[in-house]
Amino acid sequence: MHMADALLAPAVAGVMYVASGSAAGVSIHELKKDAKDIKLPVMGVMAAFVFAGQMINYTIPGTGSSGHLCGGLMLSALLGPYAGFLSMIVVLTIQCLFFADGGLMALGANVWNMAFYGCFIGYFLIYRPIMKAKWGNTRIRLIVASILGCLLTLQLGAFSVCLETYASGISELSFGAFAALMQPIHLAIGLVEGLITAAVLVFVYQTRPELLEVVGENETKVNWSAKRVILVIAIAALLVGGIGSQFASSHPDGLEWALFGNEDAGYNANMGLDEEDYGKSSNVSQAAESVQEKTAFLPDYAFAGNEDNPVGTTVSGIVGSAIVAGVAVGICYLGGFFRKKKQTT
Amino acid sequence: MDELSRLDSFYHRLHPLVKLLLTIAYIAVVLSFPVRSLAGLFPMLLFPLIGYALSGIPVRTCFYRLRYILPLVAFVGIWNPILNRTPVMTLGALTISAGMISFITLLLKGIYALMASFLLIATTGIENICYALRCLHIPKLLVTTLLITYRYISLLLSEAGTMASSYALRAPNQKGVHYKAWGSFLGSLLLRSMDRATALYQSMQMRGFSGDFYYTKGTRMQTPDVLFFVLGLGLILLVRFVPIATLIGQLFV
Amino acid sequence: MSKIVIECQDISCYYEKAKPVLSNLSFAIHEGESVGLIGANGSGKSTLLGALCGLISHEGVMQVAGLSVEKVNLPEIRKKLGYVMQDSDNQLFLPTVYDDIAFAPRNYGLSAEDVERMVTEALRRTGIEHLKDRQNYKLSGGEKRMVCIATILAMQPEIILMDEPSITLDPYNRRTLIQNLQAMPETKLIASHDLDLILETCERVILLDEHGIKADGDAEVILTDEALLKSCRLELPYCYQKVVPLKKG
Repeated sequence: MHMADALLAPAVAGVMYVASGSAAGVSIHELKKDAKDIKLPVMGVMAAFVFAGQMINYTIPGTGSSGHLCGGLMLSALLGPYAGFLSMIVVLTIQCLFFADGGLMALGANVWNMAFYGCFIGYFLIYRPIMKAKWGNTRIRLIVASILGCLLTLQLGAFSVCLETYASGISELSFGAFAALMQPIHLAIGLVEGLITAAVLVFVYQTRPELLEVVGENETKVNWSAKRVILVIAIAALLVGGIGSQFASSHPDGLEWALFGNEDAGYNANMGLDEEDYGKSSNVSQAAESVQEKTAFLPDYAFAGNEDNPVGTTVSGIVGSAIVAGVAVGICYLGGFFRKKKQTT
Repeated sequence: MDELSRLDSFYHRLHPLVKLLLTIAYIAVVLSFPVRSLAGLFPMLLFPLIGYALSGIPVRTCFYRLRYILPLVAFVGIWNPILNRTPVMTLGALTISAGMISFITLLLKGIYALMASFLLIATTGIENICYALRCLHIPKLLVTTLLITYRYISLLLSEAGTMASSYALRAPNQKGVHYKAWGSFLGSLLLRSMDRATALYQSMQMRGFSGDFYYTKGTRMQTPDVLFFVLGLGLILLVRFVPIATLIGQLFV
Repeated sequence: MSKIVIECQDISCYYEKAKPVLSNLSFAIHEGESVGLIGANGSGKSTLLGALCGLISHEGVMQVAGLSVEKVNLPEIRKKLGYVMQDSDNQLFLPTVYDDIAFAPRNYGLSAEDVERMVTEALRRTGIEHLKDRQNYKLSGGEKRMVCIATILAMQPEIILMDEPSITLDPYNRRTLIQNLQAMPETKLIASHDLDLILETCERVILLDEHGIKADGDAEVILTDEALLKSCRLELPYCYQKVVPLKKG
């Protein structure tokens, strides 16, 4: 679900940074409140563990394909939601910096889509209430909580991805069509994630039950924090909504739906692949636009009237680009030249 | 990667904060180009190239990384020229469509963003990036966790790798880990990681750790750093708002 | 005799209430002594070291550097007590060697110059000046071990505890380690299965067995008592075992 930089408008990326940043601020504040024992090394090592866990492929029975782990809910169950959230931020930061998985600008959005929902919504709304419930035994409740938590988390994450892409103005595809594509795929991904999380948590419960965060402790504190979490979501929703509506007005809906079928083949139920699909949708929407143009018998080759795209279709644009390319080659050559010179001296 | 960041060049010596901010500004500007402004976006290529030339890092090292991201972007974008055949111009026998232009724009955005972030990492290294983050007043708790995580990734990866190969050696006809072993496989790695974390915490306690981290003081921001930042930012904005390529082209056409 | 720096009377440690790992241990270690701690797997060597640092809770009277091992005294005790862990990777968590060695001095609030001085001194004593700016995860096992020891020396402890210092070391690195240990004037308590190393570096040995002390005394006496060692699932140090003549030609 990692979004690439290319899929976000700077304004949306900024808003998501602010949203995730405030959630991180709240988490740090909460962690420092019981400052007696900040689990800093545990957070660090567990974040590293998520990387190791992601490297392993799990055979999904009956399909021959494999899935891997994302980790938000698991970390929350083991470290508590605040430490879990911070660990996930670290995971996503390193993925974007060192593994080219998700972009630097998209980090805020990725933290929100993948860490926030898993660590807070999944934890407070699903995991904690279920674990506190009285029915069944702990093992069954762990399984149910993990699966439901991951399903909800990934649905919310996928929905946010749609929302953010839509607000970025990258996609002219209608929001509904987008969501209709995203949600079912992430239902499957969420199920796998949930099963892995459940398997691991049950194993931990059987071998070292004391490691699972004790639920039900510090009741009042947690409730208060849940309120804050909801507040943060509300603010973020308003911000995103505000920006989204600005863009939305400039995007016509309608015909795009007709091209919906063509899209399907491009989708792949793979965590790494789906992130790129938004870019494609935008292209498809352009296709829709072109169909509109054709049907209206008004082929407009130069995108006249669109001031953002004054260039790209003119001869001078091409000639200029060619010269820039020449300069680029020159820079590479010069760089190499100076380096060689340095070596010889 | 770490070897690259140990090299010495003007660009390496730049203050990490300058590099971080310029990289972010650059990516933000690249992203702000509209979907089809290919000629406007194209000159943005110069900035990372100058960076690579200054730092002495071969550009191809970064393209090696593109192998993960480029096939995906290409796979996604390839539908574009197929679906959108609206011709926008003809070059001899070759007709260029709107879909092709937006496809290339998307590819370029992806490539540029990756080139820039790779340059940042390759010339800065994790410690200095963390130093830059601290300059930005990112909480110490987060930055330190980042450092510790980075330190332990390679270790846990090799542990997981050992486990995976020992599993694979005993289950030669199986692709990946069987679902019955999901819990115990990852779970035992998890328990070992937890133990390691505890030992790590103890070793920190034994050396007087009390919740605060102290670091080597990074270098101060110097005049050349500030100049480079202002110049770089100015040029990036210039290329964003002035269609350089078109202007140069008009001189000749 | 010089003053006592570690004193234990009737120490017991538990992980589970029913099964004590150590029960009713009593011993004292004097300043400047080098003591080897030996015993089979699971005999409680690491537990004892952990208890001395206050990492594992205990029952009974335990004093380190004149202070009782309890929560209020722990910061003071840990300042005087260096613990070299079994797995070097657990100890080296910062990116560079320098940062890791400087970790303790910085935590104790020393000025930048003093930190620099301590680090240089620790690097010199372990003979790893050339590693100063290297990255921790790129070091070899032997280098890591030396850096670990340097991180401890940099806090200038009075007492050094070591858990299996020679494990994973090749013969050359092990020899360097032994020479380093011999040159250290600090009080040392070394837990190891490497009995030859103990023999070379320690004048006294404490032998743990069945959760208690089986023998405590002169290293050469205990380490040559084959029957005693065998009864504790140990054997004679290699240097006392039958010598196989080199085949020549």
